[in-house]
Amino acid sequence: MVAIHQFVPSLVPHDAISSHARRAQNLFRSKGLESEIYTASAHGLPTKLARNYKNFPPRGTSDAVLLYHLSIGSEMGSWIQTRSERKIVNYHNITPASFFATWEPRVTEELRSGRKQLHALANITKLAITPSHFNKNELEGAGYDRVRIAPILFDPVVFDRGPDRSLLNVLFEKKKRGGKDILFVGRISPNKCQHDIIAAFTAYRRLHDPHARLRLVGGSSSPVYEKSLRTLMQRLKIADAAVITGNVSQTALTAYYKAADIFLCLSEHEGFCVPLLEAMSHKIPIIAWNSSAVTETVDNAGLLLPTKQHVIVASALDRVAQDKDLNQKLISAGSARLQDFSPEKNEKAFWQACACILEEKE
Amino acid sequence: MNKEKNDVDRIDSHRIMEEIHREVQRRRADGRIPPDLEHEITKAFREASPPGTASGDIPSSIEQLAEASHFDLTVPTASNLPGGSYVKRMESKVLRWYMQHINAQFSEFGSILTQILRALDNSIEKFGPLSPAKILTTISPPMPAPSPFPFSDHLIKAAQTAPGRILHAECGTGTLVRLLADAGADIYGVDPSETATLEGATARIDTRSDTALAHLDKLADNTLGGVILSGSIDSFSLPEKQVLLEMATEKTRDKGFVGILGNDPRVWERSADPLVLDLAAGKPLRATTWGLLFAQLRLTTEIHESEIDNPFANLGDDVPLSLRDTLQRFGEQMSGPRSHLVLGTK
Repeated sequence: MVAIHQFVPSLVPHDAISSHARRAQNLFRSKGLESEIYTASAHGLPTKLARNYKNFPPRGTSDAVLLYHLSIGSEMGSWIQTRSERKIVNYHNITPASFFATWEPRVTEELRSGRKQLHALANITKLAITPSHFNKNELEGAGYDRVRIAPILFDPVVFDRGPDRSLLNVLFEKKKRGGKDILFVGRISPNKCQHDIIAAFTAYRRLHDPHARLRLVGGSSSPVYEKSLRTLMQRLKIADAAVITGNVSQTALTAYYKAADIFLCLSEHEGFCVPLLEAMSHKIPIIAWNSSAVTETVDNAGLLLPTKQHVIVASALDRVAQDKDLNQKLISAGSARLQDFSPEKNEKAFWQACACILEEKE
Repeated sequence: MNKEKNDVDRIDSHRIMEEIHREVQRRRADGRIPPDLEHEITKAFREASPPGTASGDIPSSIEQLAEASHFDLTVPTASNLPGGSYVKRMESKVLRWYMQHINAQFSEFGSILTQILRALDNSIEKFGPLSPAKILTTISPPMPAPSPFPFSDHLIKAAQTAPGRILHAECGTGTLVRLLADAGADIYGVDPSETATLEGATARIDTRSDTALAHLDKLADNTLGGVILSGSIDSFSLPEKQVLLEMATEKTRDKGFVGILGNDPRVWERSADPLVLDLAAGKPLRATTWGLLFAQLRLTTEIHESEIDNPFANLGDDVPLSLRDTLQRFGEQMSGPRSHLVLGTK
C-alpha cells in the first residue's frame, strides 16, 4: 500500500496546524493510503494520535512519501533533510525573526533556523504546498520551483461547537451595559501587533464609544511582549475594559466569538490567518490591516485598512459599528467568502496537490 | 453557491476609507480629536515596553532598569494541592534570609549601574548646548529658506496627487502652505517660531508651532500624503539630515512624496557669514547629493533646479574685449544653480 506520513514538530490541542494534520491524515486514509503522524512532542494530546519521529523506520527501508509541516526551525527539520524518501513541504509560514529580535531574542534562533531549513529543503523536495499566494512567493524566493496552493484543512462546524454557557452569560451581562465588543483571536506575539489594537481601541473609547470592551484571545508567544501589553492597558486606563484571556478552550472561544461585535486584526505578518475564517463563520464583520496573507484571506469580506493610524482605525470601528448597511454587507461578504474554504473544496485542493506526487514514480 | 457570491455587494474598502479619512480631517479641524491623542498613546506604549524594544527614550529606560533592580520577595504561595500552600509558605520562610542576601547584592549592582547610566546621560545632555550649530543660532541667523515660487508647478502637481495630508516642516508664516491649499491640497505647516506661526494662523493658514523632528516623532508611520522639508535642514549635519529624511519617509504613505526645498551650497558659500562658514555643523547639499540620499531610501526621485543666468554671457562686440572677459568671468561665478526642489515618491 502506498503510504504518506506527516511530520509535525509539535502537536498542540486547538492548534490550526495540528488540526490540519489530523484532517489530512483522515483524508489520506479515506483514499486507502497508509498514513501516520510523527512528532517530536504532543502536548496534552493522547499518544495514540501521533508517534515519535525517532521511531520512524531507518533510512532505505521505507518508500513512503514524507509530508513535513514547516512553521519553525526544529531538530525534525534537520532530520527530514537526511531522509531519502520523496518529500512534500507543507509550508505554513515562518514569522520573520526581526519581529522577535528585541522582544524574545531566544525565539529568533528557532525562526532563523526555520528559514535556513526552508532553503535547505528546496532542492530535495518534490513539491511545496501552502495556503496562500503570499507564502507561495516566499517559497519561490527560497528556490522551490513546484508550489501548489491548497488551503489549510478545517471544518467550519468545529468553530460553532457549543459555547461555554456560563462564560457566554457573563459576556452578555456586560453587553447589557452598552458599548461594542471588539475581538481579536491569535497568539500574543509582536508580529500580530496587539499593541496597535490596544492603541486603536483606546482612541475608539475616547472618541466614539466610552463603554466599548476589547478581548484579546490566545496564548502567548512572548511573555515580555505580553507584560508590556498589560502595562500599556494600565497606563491607558483601559485595564477594566480590555482583557488578555490566554489560552482558552474551544467552547470558551466560541463564547467570545458569539459575544463579539467586530473582529479587528492589525497583524503585520500572517501566512493565512484562520481566525479570520472563524470570524466569518460567526458572522462578525472584519476590519483588518491590509498586509501579508491577510489581504487574500479576507479578500472582499472585510474592511481593509491602508493605515494603522489609531484615530483612523478608531473611526473605522465606529463606522462599522454605526453603519448597519455596511455591517450587514461585511457579514454577508464573510459568509460568501467562507464558501471558498468549504471542507469539500479544501480537501479536493489538498488531495490534488498531494496526488500528483503520489502518482509519480521515484 | 456562485449565485450567492455574486449577490454579495463588493466592499469598496478604498472608498469607505476615503470617507473615513475625510471624517477624521473634519473632526481634527473642529477640535473633536485632541491633537496629542495619538502621541499620548504611542508614548504610553514606549513607556510600557522594556528598553531596546519599542522604547527609544534613555531616561525612561534608566528608570525601568532602576525599577527592575528591586525584587519582590513575597513569593506566591497559593496551591491547588492539599497542603501545598502550607509547604510553600514554610519554604519561603526558610529561604527568606537567603533570598534577602541575594536580593541585596542584585539591588546594589542595579543601583550602581543605574547611577552610571544617569551620569552618562547627564554628560550627553551637557554636550547639547556646546554644539557649533547651537552657538551659531545665537550669533548669526541661518540662511533663509529659498523661495518656493520657482517650483510651484511641481509642488502643486505633487500635492494634488498626494494620498493624504501634507506637512510643510519649517513653514515660516505659511506662504507655501497657502499656495498649495489654494491649489486644493490638504496641507498644514509647522515652524519652531511661535511669532511666524501666529502670523500664519492669524491669516487663517493652518500653521502650528513645533520643530520638524518633534512633530514628525509625534506622528504614526504611514500617516501623511507628503512632507516638504525646508529651512534649517540646510544647516543640519549630514547625520541629522539623514535622520530627518528617514523620519519623513517613514511617516509618508506609499505613493506619497518627500520634498526638499533647499539652497545650493555654492550660493551659501558666496553669501554666508565667514563665521558661519567656519562653524556650521552642516551645509546645504547639492541637489544630486540629495538625490543619492533619496535613492538609498528607495524613493523615486526627480530634481528641479532654479538657476541664475549669466547676464554677461552674450555681450556684443561693442564692449571692449578685456572688459568683456572680466564681466563674463564675473558672471560665470555669480551664475549657476541657486536653489532646488528634490522630490522623492515612495
